[in-house]
Amino acid sequence: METWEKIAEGFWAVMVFASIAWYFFLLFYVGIRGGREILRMGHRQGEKPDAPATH
Amino acid sequence: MTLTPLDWAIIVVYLVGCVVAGVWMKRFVRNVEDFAIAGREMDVYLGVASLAATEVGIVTIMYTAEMGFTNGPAGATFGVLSALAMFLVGLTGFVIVPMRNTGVMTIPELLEKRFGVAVRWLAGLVIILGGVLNMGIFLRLGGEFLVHLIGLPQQYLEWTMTALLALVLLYTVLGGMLSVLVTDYLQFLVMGMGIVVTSVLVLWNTPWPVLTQQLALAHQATLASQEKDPPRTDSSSKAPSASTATDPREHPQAASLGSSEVADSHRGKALRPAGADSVPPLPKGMKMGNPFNPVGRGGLGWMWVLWQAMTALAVVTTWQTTIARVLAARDSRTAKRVYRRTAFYFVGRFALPGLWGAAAFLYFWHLGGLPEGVDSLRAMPRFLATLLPMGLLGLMVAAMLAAEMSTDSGYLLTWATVIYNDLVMPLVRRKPSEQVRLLIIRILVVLIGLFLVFYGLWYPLPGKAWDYLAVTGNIYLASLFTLLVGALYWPSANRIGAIAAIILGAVGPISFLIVNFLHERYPDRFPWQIAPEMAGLAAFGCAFAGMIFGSLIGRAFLPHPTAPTRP
Repeated sequence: METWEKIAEGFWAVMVFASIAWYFFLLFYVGIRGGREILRMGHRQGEKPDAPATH
Repeated sequence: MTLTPLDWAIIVVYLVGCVVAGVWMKRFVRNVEDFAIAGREMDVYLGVASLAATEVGIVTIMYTAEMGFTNGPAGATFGVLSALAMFLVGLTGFVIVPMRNTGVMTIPELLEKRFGVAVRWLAGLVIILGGVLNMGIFLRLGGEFLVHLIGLPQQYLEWTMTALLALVLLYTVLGGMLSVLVTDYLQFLVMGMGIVVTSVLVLWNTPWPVLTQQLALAHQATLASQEKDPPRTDSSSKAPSASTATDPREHPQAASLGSSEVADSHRGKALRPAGADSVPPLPKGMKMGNPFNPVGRGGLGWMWVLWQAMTALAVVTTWQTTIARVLAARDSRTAKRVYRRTAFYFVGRFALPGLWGAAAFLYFWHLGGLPEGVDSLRAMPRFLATLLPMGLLGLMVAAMLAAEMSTDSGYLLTWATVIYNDLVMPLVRRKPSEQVRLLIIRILVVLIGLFLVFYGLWYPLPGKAWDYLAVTGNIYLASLFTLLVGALYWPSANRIGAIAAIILGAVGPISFLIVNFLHERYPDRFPWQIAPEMAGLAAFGCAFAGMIFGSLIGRAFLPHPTAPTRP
């Protein structure tokens, strides 16, 4: 049982530190790529034939 | 309040940026499809940001921190199960691929294709009851977080959260999903920054080896105290809550915590490893479950884990706010990629606030107990208030406002879309013009906002409201999951089976509510209780039984059981 507890403790250490690293990485990765996608989405929406129509 | 001009500047810049970006997107809204599902133009990384931001609200952070406060890192088990479920669904396309390929806007719309309009309406009602009622608790809990984190005077809570919701309504009503996606993106960045910085600071203050060692000691102390005084099966043995918070007369040091010099004397002090002999006794109302192994001694148990695994799968395939991102994706391949890339985010969604909650437990344990008016749910923000320095407090407030706003906007839009698409439009004989339909859905967003302000903020919820919320959420997940799986993967499923699944899916949670109410009111005449995990699992079992047996019976009575076309 002691062994399982140790394994579980190690598992949570990996989860917590990997989460912090993943969140930090996503800040930049999603930050850059998501920003580009917003610009592209705006372009595509603007190019649709009857846009803009609800003003 | 404890905010400095620097903190205020960070908060104001964030709020102004968000509202300007959200309102700007109004120019691209031409029809209901643009408004409700962003014209199906969402790409992968915007989807990741939006999904992550929507599903992390202040209410999530407070509850996951509470799980850390009562169960240590093991309290994040649901996060791991959610991540696994999301990754597997993203890998296989289970439910989400056929759903996206049908081109529907909501889940009930898909169900109509298979089971007819009555099931669409009934499913829409279940979704609204489960979704909107659950959302009712968001604003007040978000406000309470601010009260404990920055010392916001209690009398300003309602006004502050009303103003925040007004900002959210402004951009959501104008730009719909397009505004929600863009503001979610900004909120994802601010929230992520706040979560990373706070987690690093918590670990700096309470190093991981110290945290794990002391949580293990706290667990041993809890087991020892339970052996001396075995826990009863009634509600008094539950995790500490407002009613079981430490009596300040027993712990005068804890009672004065908050604005006093006691908190200041502990501010920023890191915890050090302690020997078992120098561990303080556990204060009344504080206890620690198995902090690492959820199925070990004193842990959450196998049944709980099984129930949570089932719930995680149901959430990622049927929770309408999550599915809204699938339906807004450019295609099913994009939807699958969004799921795979967001999956691990859900571990942090539970593990990091859980870390803050576990550190808060150690902090208050060493102080002698929880202060007056603070329970296990509110301990984390009170702890962070003692930890975060100037500037970082402003970032944290902005991050939490981001969490709240992104969740509110996504939920407002989603529930309004379901009401419009599945409750209102099926009753309308002549299809109104595009302008009128846009106006209807915008009015619905405002009405849900007003409902939330009065039901969740200004009107005090009765004590048992939490139970009703849990029950409606449970009915939603069990019924809708069964309906979707039946509709998409079982050719023999029919209307009778679908209606039976909805009705029987409600039996487990409602029985839980009634039996536990009778036990609490008349403990001598009704000594039985139903554990939440039993009620939750029974809901799924009953819903599936209803679908199978109802469909088999339906085959005998319905002339063409699958008359509506298969999606």
